[in-house]
Amino acid sequence: MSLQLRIDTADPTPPFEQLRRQLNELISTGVLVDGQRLPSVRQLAADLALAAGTVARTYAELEKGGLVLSRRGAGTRVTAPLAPGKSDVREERLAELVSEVARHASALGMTPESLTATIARAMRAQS
Amino acid sequence: MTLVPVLLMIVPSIALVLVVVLIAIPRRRRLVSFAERDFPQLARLRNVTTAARVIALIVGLIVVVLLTTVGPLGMGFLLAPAVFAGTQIVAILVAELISRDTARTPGAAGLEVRRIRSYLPRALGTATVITLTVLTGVLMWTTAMGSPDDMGRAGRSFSYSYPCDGVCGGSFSPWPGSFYTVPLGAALLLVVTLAVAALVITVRRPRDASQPEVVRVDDFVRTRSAESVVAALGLGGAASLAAICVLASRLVVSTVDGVSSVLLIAGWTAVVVGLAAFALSVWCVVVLLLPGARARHSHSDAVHETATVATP
Repeated sequence: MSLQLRIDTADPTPPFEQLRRQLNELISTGVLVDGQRLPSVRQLAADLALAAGTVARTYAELEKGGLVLSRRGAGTRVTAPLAPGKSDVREERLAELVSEVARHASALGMTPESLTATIARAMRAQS
Repeated sequence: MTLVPVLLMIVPSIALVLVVVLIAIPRRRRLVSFAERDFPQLARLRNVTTAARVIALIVGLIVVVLLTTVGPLGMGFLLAPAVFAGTQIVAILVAELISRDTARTPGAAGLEVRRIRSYLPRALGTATVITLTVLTGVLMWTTAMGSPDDMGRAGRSFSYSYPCDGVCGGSFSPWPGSFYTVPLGAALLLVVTLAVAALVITVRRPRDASQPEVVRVDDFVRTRSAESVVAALGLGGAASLAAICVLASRLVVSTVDGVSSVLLIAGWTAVVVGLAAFALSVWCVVVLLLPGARARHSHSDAVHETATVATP
């Protein structure tokens, strides 16, 4: 199954930013690896029912951040420094995300056990 | 006289095609079966594209029968393959446009790269390109060799001369000169343009690739459409080439002593090329009746560059 990209129309965040965040996350966590080709602007825009300019802006933002490289005729490819085998980098990123979740969970008064169970449920739902 | 060998080729070919179709239809149906209650849009996509192909085949046959009776001096007969091919391609193009949004979930997409070549039948595609290239060369040659007929119509007959006591010569018609090749070339150019447009529209049709069942069925439908387009183009080119070669092969039977051996070789080459083009036409008819053979392979190609979650 391919990775899913989702645009929430109820979200006040602009669609290009929603898309940029998701792609940024996929690249920075190493899910999308260096050299991997992204769909063409036209294809992704059609699939998501967005304007081509929205996707083009997302790719332009990612290119500014040094995460992708667009070449005429060669499409857009990931240029992230992460390699798929560098699990320590991914674990570091995961630790950052989990600590953020843990901070929110503490604020909500959750116990570590209930947080663990919630995460386990979320993981099962993903798979 | 000439009907017997033609019938000897056509009747077994039709029988072979029917046998292959009857054996393969149930197998091909299984490839596109799915839980229709869960994916009503996919069912619509499959049904619209299937209906378009069936209607196009029927309409195409009717148009061909009508064409063979119109047009001056067999022109309709010669243009029939190109017109039939155009009918098939237009039907597929329209069906793909009608069902453009059926596999899409607005706001959701899979991260995949779709390419035209992932859906093309490689062997048939290569054979079609070769056929169109050979056809272009043959049309240029026969156009250059054509001469006016006894009524002064340019490019409708073939004249030759040979040394004797003075200058001897002869001519025969019909010959595939400019009288036939110009309209045929224009028609085939239009068919090629339509085919390219149909392939682009088929592959660019949006879909939600994050759902495996959508990808599986949609890949089959896309492959079926792409194969039909290539088969129609191949049939248009190959059947036209076969017809041109039938006319050109008269070099073999019309020549007399002293005529250039180069022309004899050209005549026999036309016979061989014509037979090969006829074989390709049969292949294209089988694919037109049973597209989708490449579906399982194209699926893996299509998702080849799809992002997958890397394991730590």
